[in-house]
Amino acid sequence: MDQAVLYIDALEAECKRLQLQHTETASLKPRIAAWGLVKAGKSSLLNMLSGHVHQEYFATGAVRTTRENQHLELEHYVLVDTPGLGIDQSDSAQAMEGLDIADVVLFVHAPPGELDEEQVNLLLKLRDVHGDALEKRLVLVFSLLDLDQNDAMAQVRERIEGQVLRCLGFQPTCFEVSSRRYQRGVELGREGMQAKSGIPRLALHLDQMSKEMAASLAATRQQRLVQRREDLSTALDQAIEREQVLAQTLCAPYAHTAGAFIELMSSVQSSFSAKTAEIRTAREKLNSL
Amino acid sequence: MPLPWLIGAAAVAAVTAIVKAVSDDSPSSSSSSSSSSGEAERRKQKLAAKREREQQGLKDRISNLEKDRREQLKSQLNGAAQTLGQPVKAMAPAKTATQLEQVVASQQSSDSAYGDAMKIILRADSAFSAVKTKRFLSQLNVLETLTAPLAAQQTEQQAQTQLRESAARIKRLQQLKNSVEQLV
Repeated sequence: MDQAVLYIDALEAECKRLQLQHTETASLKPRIAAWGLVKAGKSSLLNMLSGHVHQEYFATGAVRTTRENQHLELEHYVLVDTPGLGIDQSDSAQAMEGLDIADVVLFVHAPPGELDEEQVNLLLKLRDVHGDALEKRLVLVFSLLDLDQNDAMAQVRERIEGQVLRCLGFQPTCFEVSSRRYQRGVELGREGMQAKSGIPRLALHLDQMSKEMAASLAATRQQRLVQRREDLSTALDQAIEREQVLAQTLCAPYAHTAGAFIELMSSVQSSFSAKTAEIRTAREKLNSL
Repeated sequence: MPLPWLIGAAAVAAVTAIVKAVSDDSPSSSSSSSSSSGEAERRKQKLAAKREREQQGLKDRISNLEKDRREQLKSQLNGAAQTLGQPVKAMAPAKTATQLEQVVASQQSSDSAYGDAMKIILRADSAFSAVKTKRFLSQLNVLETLTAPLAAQQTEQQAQTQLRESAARIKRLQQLKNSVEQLV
């Protein structure tokens, strides 16, 4: 499909999301969205954070399972599971919607690899959406800690923190977690294992964040909606202007031709009129004889 | 000769001379009158001939002017048609001078396929005024009436399609913009 049409489709989708969010009457609890690439361990993490250790609430599996944003309201906040980014366009659109409504973003990354170009772009997108407030709203989570071998995680983490700092200009709070270790710890009743999984520490941090932002939540959301509306309005103005320039470019050679034709035809009509006037004078003279 | 005789003889001679003079003059006067009327006739004929010559001269001049005008029109129309990048068609010869004058002064807009395509294109150009578009279409109609209606070429059709699509996109964007503005 035409790039211009695809861009308008994206603007229309953003417009619909904005309309929906404008009219929603959701509970005033912070929304914490897990965001990241496919198979980063987002759903497993949210299951652990919400206490769904034995019976998962957010579907997990070997294949891509989350296709739509899923919400789960807890005591202090609402967890939002988003589809993994980077594979399917409609999944990505859902994930973007999750990002729009998120008050806190859990950016989940599964080492051993560093952040790839796509993830860096996602971080930049986050910065676009949340602006300066992102520093207080972003939590970087390194999942699959249990796969750490020979303490390689520490080095990877260091490199990733460096990437994020270069990309965003600040260092977000980071957590290393292992959902599997936490699950095993719960199953075996071993608190030490649970604590080592990093999940309780993260849960505590999220509780704290939620309490801190509760008072200003409504105002912050409203402010974000206004900002998004202004951004969308600007994007629409720019798109209209681009279309007008395109139309102008298309018309220009024809307008030039028409202008030249008018000039020539005016000269044709003018010399024809001059000759006609001469003929009329001659006729009048002839009639007077 | 006695004086009275002399006086009498002189008187007779004088009378005789007068009578002679009168009798000599008589035929001369009648000839002058007939010569004057002939002159008038000649003058009249001369005037008539002169008028006829003038009339003929004017008729010739009018005919030449009309011929010149037609030739000039024909050649200038060729140039104008070439500007449009259209194949040049010959001017219809059957038009009378009056018909030509009416066509050239006509303000009617072209409704040919080319005219319709150009109307859409020029109206989409915000820098090209409506007055100029109207003028172009009426002048195009002059050309087409004197030659033949022009067909839209592939390039104009493509431009027309692209502009229609662009207009649809602009409309869609403006509708989106309106709905965003209503979000307060």
